[in-house]
Amino acid sequence: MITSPNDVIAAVATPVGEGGIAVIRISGLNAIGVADAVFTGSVPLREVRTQTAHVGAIRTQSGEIIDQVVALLFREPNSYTGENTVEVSCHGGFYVTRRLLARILEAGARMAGPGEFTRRAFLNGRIDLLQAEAVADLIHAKTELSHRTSVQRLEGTLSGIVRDLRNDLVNISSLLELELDFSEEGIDVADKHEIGQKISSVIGQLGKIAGTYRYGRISREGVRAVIVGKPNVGKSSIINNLLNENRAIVTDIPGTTRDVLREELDIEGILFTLSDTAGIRTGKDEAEKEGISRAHTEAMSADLILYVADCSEPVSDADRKIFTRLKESNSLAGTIIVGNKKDLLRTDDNFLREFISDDPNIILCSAKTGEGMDDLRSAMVRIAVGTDHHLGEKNICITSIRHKDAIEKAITGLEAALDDIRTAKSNEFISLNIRLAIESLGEIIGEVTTEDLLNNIFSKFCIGK
Amino acid sequence: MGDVGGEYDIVVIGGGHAGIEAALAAARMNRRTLMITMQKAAIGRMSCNPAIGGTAKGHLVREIDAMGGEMGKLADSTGIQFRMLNRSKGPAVWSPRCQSDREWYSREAARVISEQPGLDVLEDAIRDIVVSPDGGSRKISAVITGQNGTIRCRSLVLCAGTFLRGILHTGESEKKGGRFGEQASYGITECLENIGFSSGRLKTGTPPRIDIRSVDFSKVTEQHSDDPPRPFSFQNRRISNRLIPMYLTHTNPDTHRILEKGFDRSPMFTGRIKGVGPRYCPSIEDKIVRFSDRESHQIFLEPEGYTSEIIYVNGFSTSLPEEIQLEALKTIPGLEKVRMLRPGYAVEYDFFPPHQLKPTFETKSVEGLYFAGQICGTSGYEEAAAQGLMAGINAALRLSDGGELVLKRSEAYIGVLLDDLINKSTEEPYRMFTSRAEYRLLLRQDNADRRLMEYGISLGLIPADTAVRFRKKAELISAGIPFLEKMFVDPAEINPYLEAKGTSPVSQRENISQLLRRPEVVLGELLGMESILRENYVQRLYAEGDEQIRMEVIEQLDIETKYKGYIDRQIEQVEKFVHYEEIRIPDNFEFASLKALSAEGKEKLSRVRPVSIGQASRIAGVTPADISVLMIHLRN
Repeated sequence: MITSPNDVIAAVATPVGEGGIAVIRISGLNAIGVADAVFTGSVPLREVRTQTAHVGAIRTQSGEIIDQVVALLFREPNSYTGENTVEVSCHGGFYVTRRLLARILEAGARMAGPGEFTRRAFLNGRIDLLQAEAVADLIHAKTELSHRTSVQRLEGTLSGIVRDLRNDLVNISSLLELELDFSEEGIDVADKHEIGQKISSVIGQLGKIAGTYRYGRISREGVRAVIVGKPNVGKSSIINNLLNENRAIVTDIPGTTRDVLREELDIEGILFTLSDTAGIRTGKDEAEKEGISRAHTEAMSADLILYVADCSEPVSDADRKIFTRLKESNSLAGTIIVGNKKDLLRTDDNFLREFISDDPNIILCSAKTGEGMDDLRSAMVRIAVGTDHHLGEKNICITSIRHKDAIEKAITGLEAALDDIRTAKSNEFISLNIRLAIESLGEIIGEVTTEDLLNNIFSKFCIGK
Repeated sequence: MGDVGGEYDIVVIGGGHAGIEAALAAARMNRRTLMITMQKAAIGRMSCNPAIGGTAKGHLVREIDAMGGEMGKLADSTGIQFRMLNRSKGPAVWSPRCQSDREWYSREAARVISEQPGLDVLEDAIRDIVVSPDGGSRKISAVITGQNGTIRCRSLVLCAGTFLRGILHTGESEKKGGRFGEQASYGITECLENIGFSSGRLKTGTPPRIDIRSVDFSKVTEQHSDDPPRPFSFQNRRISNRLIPMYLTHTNPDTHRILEKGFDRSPMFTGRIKGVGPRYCPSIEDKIVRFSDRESHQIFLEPEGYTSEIIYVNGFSTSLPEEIQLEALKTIPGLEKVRMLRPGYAVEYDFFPPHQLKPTFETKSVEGLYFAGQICGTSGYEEAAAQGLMAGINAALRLSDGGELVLKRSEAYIGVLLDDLINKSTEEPYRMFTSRAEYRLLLRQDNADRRLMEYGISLGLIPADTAVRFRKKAELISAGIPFLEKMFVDPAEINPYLEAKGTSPVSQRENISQLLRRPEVVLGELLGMESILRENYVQRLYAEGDEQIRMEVIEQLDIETKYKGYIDRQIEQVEKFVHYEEIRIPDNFEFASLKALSAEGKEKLSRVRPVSIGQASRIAGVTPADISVLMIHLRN
């Protein structure tokens, strides 16, 4: 695709669907000209100052008003994309926004491709790669939590922390290099014990950042939860009860299989994608087999498995068997045994004692009366996300597998370096492993190790001839 | 003199370390070559320290030698002390260094030059460089000399060192000169600027020389040569020169106090020197200012030869007033009664920022014109010689078939040197360090022949017998690696050795490669074992290789096996590096049209005109964001 970097692009910038207000963004060298062609306010936009708002109307070619709008003007480079930009706030709704956009395209704009505004922002140096990724996340953010992590990354918190750790490594490496390249010049020998401690400290911090990945991914993509159990134990009523209070607003999930029902829940700001494997019946004997097979497929990739049983009934062998097999098929997932129909239960003892499992997470509840349902909600959050998921006060986490891999590669390099120190290897071997780590961290923040080491040596250390 | 003129394939200007290599390589590649020097007696003169090699520089000398250059052989012939630096570290950073007899080195260089068939030497100065239009471009056509008129040439290699508009500074006195007692060279800079080249100013310094008879040797520490010394050259088996010691002493707070008195008259501090000096080779006054918490700096006293009365005071480079230098020297242990023969001085000179060069050292704007050595902004004999060699080789190649030889960062320190020069802005004289070589574990001084000698052979720069020996050695190494991987020894046979070495015994048959990973286990010692001696490969090693080859093969096998894990990791890195080298940027790519590039990135890319993404990423001032932008555009 050959596109001029300056042509005018436009798109609806707010999510498609119902909503009080929608925003259409127009960006490019002649964005203001395009806007003036369709917008009538008290003065033409080309004559107003940057970052000002103007009330007016967008009309058809024949002069008929499509909508009353507010136009926000940003002149280059002070806009999101770094280009001349007009943002039109209009009344929401599918029909109005579609007509407005069509009119703007008619006036000379081109429909923006996916991510094109962000790409232009990146190409114009408005944001770095990490921020560009965060924007993509932000656009897809479905819940408050997800929004928070994206915004942090946009502000460069993760970049800052990674940059600091990388600088620590450059300093360590410089000490090692100094001893190699200036060995003839009476240089104090680098203290390997101290260097080892510094490396360990960096490993510790990187480990914490890597450890936030699960939380980060969950905040971005949501918790993949699956609900399973024998027929008639009340799975649907559990789901309905959860949905009544917690239905997430956005539902358009790609890759939804027709056989599996998915619902989205927002519990305490965390998105849960709950798959229900009920309703799959192909015949009496086949039913259970097929159901279990479906359940397994779903459970394999789940973060959280909710196993629903009827706690007023004796626990059957089938329950134990299905549950055990589910756990085996995905040992990484958290599990909750949901003992439904608590309202029909006389004493708790029976179910708790009989459900043979090493799983401590058993919630007794009643979807019908609502009893225990809040316990279930907090258990879902606690088990899926864990409690220790924030990294200190900075509250950052990583959401991209690319970053997680890079950090883990850095940790591997640093552990090898520690091993080199323990086995009294010469500096150039230790240095090789630290450099690998520096490069990996550089991949996250987009920095390359070229003259860094020497410059650092020269700026910080004593060199005699 | 009249217009003796003449016509040569290649003219080399300068008889320093770059000029020697360029002229010899060109002549040995059968090009009619002329070296023009202002003073024949100054060929191969060591302006500063009479030493060859050192950390990373020793690697360069070994590489020059492997390619068929002269420096290693000159050093071996005239060395008076040989040491392998960094012996306590791993093999990748071992660096050979020798102290040379200054006069002998120069004489030997002049002898080799004078005996080289196809190489003439002319004592003269250059007045002008003649460039003629050639289609849309320009090419070199002649040089005009002071006394011998116009000499026509097809290629010109300029190796003018520190002589271009050189100024020598000592205290408040300054005089024109390229080196102590030698005149500077004028006209060449202006002439090149008229052609369109940009020039800059750099400075470097040298310490005072003192009289050996005025030193009290009872107060200094002797430093001896390695025994046996190892030659630089792959063509030499041993060093037979008599070896003499060097001496170690140090400054103290008194020295520093005296030097400080002269700061107000230092050309560096008063701003009279405009050129930028190297941070890594600071003058003693720099060291006192920058590292004020140190009470003492190391000083090496280095005799300049067997019979020389001159001692080079290494570590005491200075341009302070002469009387201050002398007073300060007298506070140093052993130098209480010192006689200073010549004060230290700083030299300021013109250089041509090397982004104006192609990786062949040919200039981008004038075909057939090559720059090499200190005029490209480097420091050091070894760096100069490496450039001279590559410029000479490429000048000769261009005249035959238009081919070129450009070494990569992943195959030689010489590759690192040229890549850094053309891509990074030189703000100070460039010196080689092992830390500049990211593939350091592969670029060892011990395997320089394995990395580069095939190039030397194909260029005709390696004598036939050396080539035969090298190929035998290479073949024995390739056969040795699989042998070691397949060879197992019984615990009964190996355990006494392991226990004697203080490492744990094995309980079952163990593989030799595995055993060699232990730092205590040495291949040379294992080969004496009966079961190993019986092996075909080992028998071949003894039958086909002389003692020298055998030693070198065993050393290579030992290193490659011991450090296999690290070496493999570096090979992986090299593959990644090559990947980015192979993403090509079209010749006529308009960097300026990419609005997304940073202003600095745009300017630097347009200036250097990188041929690949890999090269672009190494240009100083080009950010990773610029690289992402480039890659996005190249992909579109």
